[in-house]
Amino acid sequence: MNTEQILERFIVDELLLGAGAEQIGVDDPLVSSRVLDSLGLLRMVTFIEERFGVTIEDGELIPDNFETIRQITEMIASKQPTSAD
Amino acid sequence: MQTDVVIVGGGPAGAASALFLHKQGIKSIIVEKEAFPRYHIGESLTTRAGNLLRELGFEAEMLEWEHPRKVGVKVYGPEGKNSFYVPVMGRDDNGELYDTYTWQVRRADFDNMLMEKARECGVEVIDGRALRPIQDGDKVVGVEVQLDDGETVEIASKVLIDASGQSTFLAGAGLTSPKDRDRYDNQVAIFSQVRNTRRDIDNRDDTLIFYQKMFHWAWFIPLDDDVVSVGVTVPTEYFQSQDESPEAFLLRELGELNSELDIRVPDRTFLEPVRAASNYSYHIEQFAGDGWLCVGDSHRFIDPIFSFGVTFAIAEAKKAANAIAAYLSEDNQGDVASLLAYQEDAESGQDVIQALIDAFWNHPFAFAFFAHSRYVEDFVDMFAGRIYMDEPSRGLQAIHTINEQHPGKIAGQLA
Repeated sequence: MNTEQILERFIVDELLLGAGAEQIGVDDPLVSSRVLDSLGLLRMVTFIEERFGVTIEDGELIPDNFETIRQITEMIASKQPTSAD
Repeated sequence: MQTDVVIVGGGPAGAASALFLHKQGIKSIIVEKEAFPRYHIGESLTTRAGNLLRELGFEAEMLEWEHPRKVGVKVYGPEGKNSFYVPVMGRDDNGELYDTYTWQVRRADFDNMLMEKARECGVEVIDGRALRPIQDGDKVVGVEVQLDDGETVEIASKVLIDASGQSTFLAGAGLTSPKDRDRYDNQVAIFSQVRNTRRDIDNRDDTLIFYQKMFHWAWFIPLDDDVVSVGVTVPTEYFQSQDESPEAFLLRELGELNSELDIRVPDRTFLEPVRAASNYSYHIEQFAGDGWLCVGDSHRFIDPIFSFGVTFAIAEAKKAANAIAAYLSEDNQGDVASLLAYQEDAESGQDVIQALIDAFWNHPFAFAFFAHSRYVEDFVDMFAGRIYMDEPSRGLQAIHTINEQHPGKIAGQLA
């Protein structure tokens, strides 16, 4: 699975517990649409840090940075060393 | 009449100043315009306030009064969900956290207890109104007081402490720098007391905080086994737009503000007249000088949400007593450095709480992540009142980072 798929599975299976949508598009709003409540957002940050081995900086902890799966994926990618390095 | 230190105001800031000065062997006189015991809001204490009371020898008396023991604060977010809990914890000499408790108090009884203890220690309490500081050039050398019978007397002092609370005596006299309206100025608090509430089985005496929208929150503070202080704090504009009496406003808000609060307060018969306090937030930058300084609310009041009123009063009283002891020591020769150092130290603690409150409202997501996960102990420390830091803790640095990188709204800008 790629990053986007991993995030989607985590949201659907762990945060929504099968009670919400089965699929979430990469550009679907998560926070403003209240797909994720604030507790879900907190668990998401912990999951991202553990699963992808990256650190979300203190100053990055604003909901706008977690609005879509695409945004989150780009943030994770920007923190991971690229294979060209 | 003359004394070493004259203290304007006999609330916790004034009485604790007198008690800490007494420990240093310094004589003081308190000038108080109201007859004690008298009503005051601000009933919940922090860990630091509890420990300072123990240091002053009040533990047994606090227990005798059966003030509810608080072991933590629970905060309920929107929909009654997303609560978080901050335990009351001390730090021992090895820097290890330990469980402890502090209190919630009826301020009439509590403030009177401090005042009576000061009297027992030989502090004279003068019933009267401070009219103006007496100056010799820039130096303050006493205060003019109108006694309750109308007579005016002068009290000569080496140091004057302004502990006049929100009356801000020295700011009114023009001695401090100007009194600036502060960030939570456009807020109003409406409050009373209720009984027959639903409390938790464990920790049933804890302080509860509920919020829904920004700057719109409520407190639930047990005052004894039965009675609970409840209050709602909202933007003044919102209060006015409701066009309700304070009673009707409080009654409606207790039901609507947060579903969890609605459940906790089923009986909305008010035991006290509903009171209101508005536009309470202000800040004075220069609050110490030759022969004078301000303690507690007399120089700054931020916002009541994290229960720091009595803490600032007593913590600053202790710092002021130490600074005054240095100022009055024989080899000091009138150098005001210790009083100015007090000012800086007191301000630094207030700044921490200001930053904490700003982050709580503007960055609830980051705040919750810091408090729950990333800097748990640092947040326990700040809520406990360990706010006078040589170096900012990582948790405090994180608060500054989020506040600076994403400046948010302040209460006065909501309109």
